[in-house]
Amino acid sequence: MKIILHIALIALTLFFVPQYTIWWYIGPIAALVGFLIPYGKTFSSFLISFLISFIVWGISTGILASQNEMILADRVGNIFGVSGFGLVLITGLFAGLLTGLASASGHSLRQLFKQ
Amino acid sequence: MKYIKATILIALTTALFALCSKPHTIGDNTLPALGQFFNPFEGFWANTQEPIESGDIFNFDNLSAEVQVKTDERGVPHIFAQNMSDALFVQGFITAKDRLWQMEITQRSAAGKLAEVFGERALASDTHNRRLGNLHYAKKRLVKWHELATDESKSYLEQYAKGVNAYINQLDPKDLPFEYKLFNHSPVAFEQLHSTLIVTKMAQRLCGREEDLESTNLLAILGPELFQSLYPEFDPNQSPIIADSNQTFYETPLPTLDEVDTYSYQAYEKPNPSNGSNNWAVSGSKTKSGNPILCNDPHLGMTLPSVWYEIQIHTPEVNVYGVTLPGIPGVIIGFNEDIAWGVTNVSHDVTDFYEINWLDEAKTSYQYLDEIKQVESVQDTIWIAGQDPFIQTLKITEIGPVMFESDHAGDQDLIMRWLVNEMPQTFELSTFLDLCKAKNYEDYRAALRSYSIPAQNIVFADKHGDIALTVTGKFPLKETGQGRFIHKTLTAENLWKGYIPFDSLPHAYNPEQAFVGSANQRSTGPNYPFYYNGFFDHYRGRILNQKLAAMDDITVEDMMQLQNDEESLIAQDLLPTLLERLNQSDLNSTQKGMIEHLQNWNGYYTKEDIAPVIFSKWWSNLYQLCWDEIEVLQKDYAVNKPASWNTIALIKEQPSHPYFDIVETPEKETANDLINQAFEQTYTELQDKINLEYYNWGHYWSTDIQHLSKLPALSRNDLEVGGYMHALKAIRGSHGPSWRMIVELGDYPKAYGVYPGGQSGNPASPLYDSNLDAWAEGEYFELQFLKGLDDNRFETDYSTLTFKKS
Repeated sequence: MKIILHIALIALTLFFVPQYTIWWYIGPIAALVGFLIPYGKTFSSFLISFLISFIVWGISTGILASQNEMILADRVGNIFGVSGFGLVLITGLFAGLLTGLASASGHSLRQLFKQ
Repeated sequence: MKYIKATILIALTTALFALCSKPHTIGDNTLPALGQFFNPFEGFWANTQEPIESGDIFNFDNLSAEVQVKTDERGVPHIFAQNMSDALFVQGFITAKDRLWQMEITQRSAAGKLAEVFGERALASDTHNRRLGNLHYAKKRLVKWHELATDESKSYLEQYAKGVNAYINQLDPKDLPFEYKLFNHSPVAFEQLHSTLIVTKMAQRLCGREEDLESTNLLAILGPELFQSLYPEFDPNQSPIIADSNQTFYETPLPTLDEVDTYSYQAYEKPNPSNGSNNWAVSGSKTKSGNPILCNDPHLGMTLPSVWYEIQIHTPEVNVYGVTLPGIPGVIIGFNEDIAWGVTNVSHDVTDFYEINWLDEAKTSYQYLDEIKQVESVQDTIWIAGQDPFIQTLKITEIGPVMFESDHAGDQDLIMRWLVNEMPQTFELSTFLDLCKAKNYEDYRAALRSYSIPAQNIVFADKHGDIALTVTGKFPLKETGQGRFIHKTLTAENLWKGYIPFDSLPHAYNPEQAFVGSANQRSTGPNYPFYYNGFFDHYRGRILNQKLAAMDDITVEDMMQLQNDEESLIAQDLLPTLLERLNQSDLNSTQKGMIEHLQNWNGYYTKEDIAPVIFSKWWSNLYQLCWDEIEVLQKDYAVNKPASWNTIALIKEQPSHPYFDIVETPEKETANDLINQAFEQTYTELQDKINLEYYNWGHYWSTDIQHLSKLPALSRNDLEVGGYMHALKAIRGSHGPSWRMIVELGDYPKAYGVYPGGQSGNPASPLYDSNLDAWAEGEYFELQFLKGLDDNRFETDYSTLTFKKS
């Protein structure tokens, strides 16, 4: 149940927060999720946030990129030395790493209070 | 342990978020704030979505009536308005939709405000442009425009700017053009001053060339006799735009050695010498259909987004189609239902330098003729992204800025008088606005009267059968020879005496030869009574006049071929001499093969051919060997090497000229020795490549169409297109035909055009470079010159936008 709640909260955060507020609010929110929904190890918290963020940003950008027939993805990928598809993956990994670490931070902070 | 883990994680997370929230400079490059940049909903990914869709309706209180815009499949907007004022408001809006970032960068570049965006790497260009006086004089020019323009034409400039700003104001941050996100800045409001600056920028490119410092140093060092033989003013082979019966040019007397000095100043970067163009019009008597045909291809730096923006403007009074520079209202090169016009650059030298006679040590007052004048000191702040601003003091005199200032006693400070910094006597943009509605030759001439900078050969044809060409613009009235060298004194004699009157400007109207044309060559034959010097083409003008004279029953297809003609007379002028003087007795089989290629070559710079590579390398090696003496001088002084055409003339006519000797060797070389050495060098360079299948002219002379930021990822580089700077298809590096247009006049004009880019400035759009491949192949699009809103002749599925008065 906690995992489902975690998944849902991170997914909603990654989808709505960057559209309507400031992008880095995803950090504090993911940390709060890690802090308030404690289960398993810190690494599980990291992994769930990482995967969900990767999927949400990866799919969102994947759809945009393919609707655009990869024109922009390929061009911007070229700036960073990767393919258009590589850039979609990087966008997902980028979100995953940021929120994963934020959730892990929240989770590890919670561990301190457990004592 | 837990504490350590938590501390590390929290620190790492915070650091990562902080890192991704700010832009960073790595070397010369600025990385955007990655978090926002990668944000799929607001970052660069959002640029994959078009912010405006077909069917959208906008309401603006700047409009007096409804305006409809139909956009064709190439992204060309066709604006249907009830009056010009409404049309130009919408032109501003639509141009901003497609080219906002380009408009901002162009005006910033002219104003010297690039460092504010790109940081220190743009500082040198900014300080130079400020010193030229671009921003200072553009502000004054705009004030003058406001004084001189009619209320109607003033409102045009205003409406256009308002249109651009209307677009900016409705822009959601996620829809900011891609480059704003990449380079981390926001659009500034568009001002009328920015249109003025964009005119200044074009003038800088087209009439900013001069070599007063270089020529003066050379004359002072070499002495008049040697200078005259290496740097003559007139090419006897040239074919002027307006020829006269007299073909003999007499060299202008040179100043004596007492009248010139050397200067240790570094020359500043000059505009690219390949900025030029072709235009011509043929009478109905020379065409198959009996209708006049007008052609134009301006050669400029070819960039993405493209320098030109295609548009049609339709009102009850005006129906015009053509291209303009983003930031300039109306149409600059184009046609309407009655006439067509096109431009090429005139290339007269309109910059003079004078030593300034300071009257005090602090350099605040100076002698100006009989008067003592104070310089206007302008504290000029250049903002730099991420750094403290750079502040320089500009000193402005009665006739222009102090361009060169010396910090030691050896050199005198120099004032630059540049035509572009002179105040206009007319509202200059009205020329193009008047041409948009011109109906005949008289209207064309009337429109040209208000034109000033940058001077252009404006060609004309109309449906009544008239053709004409006018060397148009403001030209200083000079004494013979004046302004070629730096003047040591500033006197009433060596100041400009006003301007050449409009009616005395070189001009051809329905000439007997039944064509008019220009390709940046000298404007006139020797009988023209007014002195000018400049930077003239020596090959395209000749071949254009030859080819047009030989043509008859001309069709539009013939004109397309002529615009894409790859032949150059430089091969005809030089190659026979090279082959004749090459010692061919000891050649190996590869060398013999090279010679065979050259013997079989027709002088066309075709991309599949290897012969032009061999010739071009041979010629460039030879040219290098010829001017080693000048290279020695270049270590201490700003000096230029002699022109190609004169190098060729000297090789042919004076092979024993002392300057053909290579200084470093004990032997006494002649031009013939250099020809043989240069061939040997060429062989060494080419022996491994010459038989490779891919190695040909197209590969060797490839073209880069670069994004304005020069980022390769946003550019289309290494295009193999053929052509040569001295051929009508004038391609060199990133320079070349930036727009090709052919218009056949008649009951209703039929027109064709293409440019190396696309209408959209958005790198995510298929229209970003959609015309480029056709351009590279020498193909054209039929231009959809619509008769009205309901014209369906082109069977195009137009997208539509509606602008309503609110």
